[in-house]
Amino acid sequence: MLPPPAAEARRGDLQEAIFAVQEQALSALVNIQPITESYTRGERQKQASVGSGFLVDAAGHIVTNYHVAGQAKHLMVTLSNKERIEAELVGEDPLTDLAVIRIPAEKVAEYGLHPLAFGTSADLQVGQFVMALGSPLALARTMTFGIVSNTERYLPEGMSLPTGERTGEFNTWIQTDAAINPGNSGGPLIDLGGKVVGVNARGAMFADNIGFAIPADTASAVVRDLIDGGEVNRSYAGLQFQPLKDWEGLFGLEKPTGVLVANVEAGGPAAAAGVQAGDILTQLGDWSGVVRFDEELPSLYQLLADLPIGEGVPVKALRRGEAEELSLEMTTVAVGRLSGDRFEATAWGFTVKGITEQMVFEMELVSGEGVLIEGVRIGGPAHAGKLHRGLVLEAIEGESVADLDGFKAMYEKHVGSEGNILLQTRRYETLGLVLVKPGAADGSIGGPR
Amino acid sequence: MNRLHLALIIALAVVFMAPSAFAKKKKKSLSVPEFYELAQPTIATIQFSQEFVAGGQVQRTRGMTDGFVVSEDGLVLVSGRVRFPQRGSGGRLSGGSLPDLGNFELRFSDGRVHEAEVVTFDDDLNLGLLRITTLEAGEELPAVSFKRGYDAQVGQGLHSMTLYTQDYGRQPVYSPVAINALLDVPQNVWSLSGASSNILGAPLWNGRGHVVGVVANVPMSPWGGRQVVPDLTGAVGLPYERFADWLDAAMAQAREESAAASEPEPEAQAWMGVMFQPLEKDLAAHLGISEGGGIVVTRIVPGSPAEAAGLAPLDVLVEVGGERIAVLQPSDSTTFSRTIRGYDPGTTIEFVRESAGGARETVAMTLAATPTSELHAERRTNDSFELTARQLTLDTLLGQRLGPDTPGVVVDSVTRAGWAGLSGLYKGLIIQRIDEHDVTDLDTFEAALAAVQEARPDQVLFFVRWGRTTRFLVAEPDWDELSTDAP
Repeated sequence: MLPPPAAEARRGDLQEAIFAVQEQALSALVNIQPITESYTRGERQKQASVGSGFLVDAAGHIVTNYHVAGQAKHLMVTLSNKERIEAELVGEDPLTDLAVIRIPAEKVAEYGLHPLAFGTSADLQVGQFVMALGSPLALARTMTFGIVSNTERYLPEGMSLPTGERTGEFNTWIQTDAAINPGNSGGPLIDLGGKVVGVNARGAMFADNIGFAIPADTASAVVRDLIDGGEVNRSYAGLQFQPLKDWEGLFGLEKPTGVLVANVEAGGPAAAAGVQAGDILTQLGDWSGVVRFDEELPSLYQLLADLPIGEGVPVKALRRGEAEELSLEMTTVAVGRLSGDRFEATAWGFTVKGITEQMVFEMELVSGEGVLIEGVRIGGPAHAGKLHRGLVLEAIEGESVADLDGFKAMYEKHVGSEGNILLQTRRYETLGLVLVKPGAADGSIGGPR
Repeated sequence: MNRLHLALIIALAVVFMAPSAFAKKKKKSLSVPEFYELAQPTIATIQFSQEFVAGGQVQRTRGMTDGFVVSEDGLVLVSGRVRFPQRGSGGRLSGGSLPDLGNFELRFSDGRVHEAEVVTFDDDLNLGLLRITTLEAGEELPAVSFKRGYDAQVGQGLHSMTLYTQDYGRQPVYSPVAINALLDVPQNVWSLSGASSNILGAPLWNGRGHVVGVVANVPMSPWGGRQVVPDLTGAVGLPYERFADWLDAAMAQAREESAAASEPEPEAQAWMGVMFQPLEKDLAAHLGISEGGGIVVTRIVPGSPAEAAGLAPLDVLVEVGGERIAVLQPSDSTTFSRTIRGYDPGTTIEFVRESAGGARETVAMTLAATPTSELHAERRTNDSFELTARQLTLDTLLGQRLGPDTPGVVVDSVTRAGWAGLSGLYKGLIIQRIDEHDVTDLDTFEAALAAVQEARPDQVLFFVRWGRTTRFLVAEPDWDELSTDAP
């Protein structure tokens, strides 16, 4: 039986729309081949991988994921016309898993590439048609098709990137059944109007067609900041919230109102303002409302991060039924990379990384002094001396290690000596002494051979 | 080539299935059925959960790995898949990362189920030791035997075994494995054929039924498995020799802890309040300190006798009470600890502190009584909430980097499907408030629960802490179902 003419026409419209998107969008698609380095086993190892990205302006800016390009030492991209070209990193933002890289503007013109524009993700509806573009399993210029499965997916267990950074704090995710596989990361999720509604970032393993994209509204704001200034500045309050669920009675409220303060970081701006765990915040700057469910948290964190720095922000709190008026003065917190640059001390059999402000905060380090042991080569001179990953190296032969450059200089100074080298380490409040024995060649321990 | 080896193994297996009388006479190699009988009771699948803080929230994930029993008193070696997401920081997790994991549940192919806890873990070897906590008094488990000095040769066959998942009834899976290369890089491991990533962590037995290695995770290779290992499975074998010393030390540590836990709380032992490392011979020589042993102070507990005596981290102590502190290696450490514990609290003893170049000075220290530890902490159970709490002790506070005045009690155990467990309470969290009742110690904890059980509210609010992070959890008890006996 033939389908009714109207349905046939609609199907024709859909096909036409998909063709139109394909013509418009494939031109902007980029296959990214980053070379990254791993230092986790005490040696520098190079790794090649493949990700996706898309051109967003005539100046040659390409949007991708932080986990694709953020820690790359070298970036090659293949454009939609199959030309290969080198790209450079413009900026990165692990907290949203976004990065911007750039190719020369003249190449955009020369090859006649058409940038893609961000649409809005706020209007997305469950069931809306979308297409994912990218290089799944390195299969370049792949387009897949599906619908939006959920517009506000909250992923509490997916809050860390493979590189260790926290992510996803400021957005819920668009869930789609348009196939997203490894290699799709950084590619656009596009609506039938040809606008970017999301940046594909992750998929559920061992599942069929459960993929997640960063919403365009989050991505476009971050991308703008990265292009303009190379980084995203956010203000910091030292506050963590919980949704109120149906717990209003437990906090002396007659009806759900405000948001529950779960944690106040000692020494942070919120602590200084007098905010306490258990307070119900009913006003935060211009915001007032109620947060009852996990899905509502990311937008509130975004709002908090957008509060002006250094000005008193009015806060109203209910504490055991009593109203409190507080003034919160936001500060900045170092965001960006969790890892500093890294270095392999080949002769000593371990790798180190520089300590960033973010590491001091996240890892609760005692200070930013020294370098962090990233990996220890099994059977190497430091492994025999019982050096471990995760220790802070504070001093070499009694001389303090200030930072990564200081370490490199001291390594160069000592590396030729045949004698043992004394390292002073720290793990929180516990110090330690480790002797590295450069004379002890790999293979001297264990093994019947 | 790998296929050839597999064929050889199968051929050998056929040969080994000769009449048992022959095997008895020769007593050299086990047949595959004999091996199967010997090996299958020693291997288990292990489920565990791990908790971590991300985005300001306590998260929990579940994982699974393989393990095998290495001693009849219930010590279990785990490897391979116990990997950690590099969450938040490499540093916070590394070294002592395994203790972040919890709720270990071991399942054997014959239906035995046991619970276990972590003894220790080595990040670089990627091996951990668990201790089964649910053995009856005197109960012994079938365990593997290890053999040092295995003369590995290319082409040699080894036996391996793991369990299928629950979906397949946890049937033991026998895998013949062959060594297809002896690798120098990564240092001294075996490339294996026949070992897929499905048997990571599985023991490798020789023909006589002794464990001579384990199937190691691919990251053992610094270059990534596929580049060094011609077999596309990428699996490598870690020879027992490589981890034997670590395992011996870990097992000794486990037994010492078990012995300490089973002893009644000792009466008033003395305590100085330091952590230390042994003054190994090379270290002493490098520091210019006299030979014969000693301790390097690595941490001073705030408020301890050591702090009062003016000791500082990295001080080297070489004598106590006029005797040399003969600590030259980690295994000597217990002797020193025992010596200190043997004094009466309140005794003033003299240490000799030696600095580089041999300068010596005497340090007098008045010892205090040992603070109660987690092991000997008082515990109280509330049957209605299926929750046991213990007093907050100094070692827990130091472990979570909290100050000495931190109030609360520690969740010692909780039934996962009980009302407290369903709220999200788990072992190790510090409870600081229940509803409007501040919980400062076990008495206020009991009083708070008693008040709650009297009032029978629909929801019970717990305010909990883990390190610097706090959170609210809500239990929703079904009072009609609960025993309302006073705790």
